[in-house]
Amino acid sequence: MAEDRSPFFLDRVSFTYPGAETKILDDFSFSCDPAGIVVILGPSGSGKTTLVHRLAQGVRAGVMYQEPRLIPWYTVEQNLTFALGTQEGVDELLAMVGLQGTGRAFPDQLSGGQRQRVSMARAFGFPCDGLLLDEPFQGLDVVLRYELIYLLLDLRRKRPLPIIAITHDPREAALLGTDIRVYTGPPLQEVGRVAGNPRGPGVMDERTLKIESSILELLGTTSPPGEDANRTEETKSVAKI
Amino acid sequence: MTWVGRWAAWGLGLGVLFLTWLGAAMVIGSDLIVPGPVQVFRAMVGLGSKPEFWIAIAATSRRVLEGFLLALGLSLVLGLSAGLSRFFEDFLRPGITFMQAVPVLSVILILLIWFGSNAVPRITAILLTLPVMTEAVIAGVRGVDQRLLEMARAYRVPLGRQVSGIIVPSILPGLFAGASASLGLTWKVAVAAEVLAQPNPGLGTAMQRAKAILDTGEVFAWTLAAVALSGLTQGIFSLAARRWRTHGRG
Repeated sequence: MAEDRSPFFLDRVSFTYPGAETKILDDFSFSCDPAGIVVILGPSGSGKTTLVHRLAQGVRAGVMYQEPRLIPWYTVEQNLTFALGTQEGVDELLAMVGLQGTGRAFPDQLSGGQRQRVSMARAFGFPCDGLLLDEPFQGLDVVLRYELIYLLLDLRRKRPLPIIAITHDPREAALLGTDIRVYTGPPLQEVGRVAGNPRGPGVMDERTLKIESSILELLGTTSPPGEDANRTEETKSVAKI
Repeated sequence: MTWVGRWAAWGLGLGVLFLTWLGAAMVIGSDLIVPGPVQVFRAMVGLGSKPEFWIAIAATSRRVLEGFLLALGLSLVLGLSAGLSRFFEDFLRPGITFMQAVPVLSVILILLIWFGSNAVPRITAILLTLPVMTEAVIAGVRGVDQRLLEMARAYRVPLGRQVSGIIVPSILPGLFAGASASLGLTWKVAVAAEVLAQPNPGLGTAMQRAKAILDTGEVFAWTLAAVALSGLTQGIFSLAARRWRTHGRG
């Protein structure tokens, strides 16, 4: 049974930043299926990042950040060796993310997409219990973003790790997640869940669009009235139907 | 500006310096007060033909380099510790402030009472350059990209490798700049200490003796030797630093 449990869980945790009034987490519990990709959405400042930091505590997790966070004076190869502690398998990892032959390049000689591929190779090469994705595709243009999402799903088939991902993009969530959760806060509260397609459908696939619109409905209920009013009204009317 | 243009400006500056010297010597017209270039050149040739000159220069260079390298190593250890621990930084702060304020000659005189004449130039050089270089290292550690360190912690990279792989390479540019300036300071301080402490052999020792017999030409010659050596060692250091950096960054 223990093996079926995701390493990412919280059991009735409360959390307030030192010196702050607002509770970020209030008697908050979190659990998920380790076979799934949990995607977390919610407005900025709702406490998502705190949640992910708390989930990461005590878990050996490979992390992909918003920026690639590569060491600029190390080559790609040296960057991987630095984080993974061994040179073994570095060439294979680079080939897996489609970067064979770039091991000797420095990060500033790569494109933004290539740098995030290195970051992905680092996360998947790390002997860990799960992956945390902190909006790693945020800064990339649309085509590159979907390319990297498919690459990630591909790698995960080879190494089925539990994944927790934060994003702002409902389409990205629809493509990536099997278990999409929308939050509001603080204190952090779940608004609702949408079941995703674990097979990873196409970008314009009807199911993807359906999942996306369900996510938008949930997100609409989290926006305070007056802020971006048109869109909120639109999504609210969708919710009524 | 082009490469040639920059060298031309450099040569022009040197020329003006030389002409000022020549003019001053001609106006004053006394070799005892301002010896002219010809006389100083003659004194230099005379000194250079004697082995004592080279022995004195070697002895002073050794003191300077030993002092400098020791200060460099110590500043790395102190600066890294202070950069990583606020407690240690606050602990070091009074010492750094004190060393930055204390007059150079007080240090030399006090050390002369405590130690033999041979040790004084070295210790003085270390004490006076240590605060500058330590500050450079502390500033470097504070400026390290925290996001890289967060990544290293997430990937469970041991602290030793975080220091050697992220922190030390981040502080090196600042440390090199601080150390290059400190190397010049080391020469000045070491020669001043030699003039007072009279270690034998030594450049400052010989300079003081030339002054005692009013051989101003020789005082100028020793001064030029000290300037040349300081410039030479700083040049070698900058070259080595640049080479290391280009090598490190491919």
